[in-house]
Amino acid sequence: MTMVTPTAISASTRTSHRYSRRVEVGVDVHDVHDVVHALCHFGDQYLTRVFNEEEIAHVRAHPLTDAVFLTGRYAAREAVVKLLRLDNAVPLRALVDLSGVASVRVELRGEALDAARHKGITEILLSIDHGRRFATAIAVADVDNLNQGGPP
Amino acid sequence: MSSITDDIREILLSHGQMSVAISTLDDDADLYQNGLTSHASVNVMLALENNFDIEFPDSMLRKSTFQSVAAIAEAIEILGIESAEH
Repeated sequence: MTMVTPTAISASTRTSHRYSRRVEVGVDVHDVHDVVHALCHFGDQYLTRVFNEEEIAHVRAHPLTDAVFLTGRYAAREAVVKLLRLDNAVPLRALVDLSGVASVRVELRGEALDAARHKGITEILLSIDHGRRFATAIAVADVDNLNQGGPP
Repeated sequence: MSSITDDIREILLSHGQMSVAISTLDDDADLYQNGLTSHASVNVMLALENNFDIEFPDSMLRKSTFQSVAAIAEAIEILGIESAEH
């Protein structure tokens, strides 16, 4: 989980009286069996289309937990897509890139970055959790209305 | 000889994991409203690429592309025409 630092909390508290703030949230729950189905039928084609090199290297090194890990990463991208209200059928790694394992960082590109800027979002925090059957992810962003490029 | 829509329906049956039988839906029915999830649409996309020897560009990976059998058929025809031209 990406942590909110004390500095970030105090900055938010200090500035909250100057202009309105709100929080955007995206949530996703995914069934591990869906990812197993994709791995069994499409293998590397599925991996390279949906996940980045770091994620693929991780599952090659941890084959016993690959489907659970990938389900969490898929849910994380989907949560970010929902937070940004994008119209993508597929949460593309090209738009929402993730790095790190213990502490996941989000990097937006292309229209995902444009959507975030339009909403006044400068950072997205992610929390991912896995069970044997499901993985879930929550994406949260603090919206800065002062820097917002468009209507709320 | 099967038509494009027959192949699409076969792929949706195998990979769409929909809550409603695809045979009960007409070509314009909304697949997302009938249980097609985002992850299932990834599987459908990959199966379509293999079946029709095409590749969906990122710009076409929108919900509207996979919204219905008719929408998928239209996308395949566009991509088939583009690959024939290159």
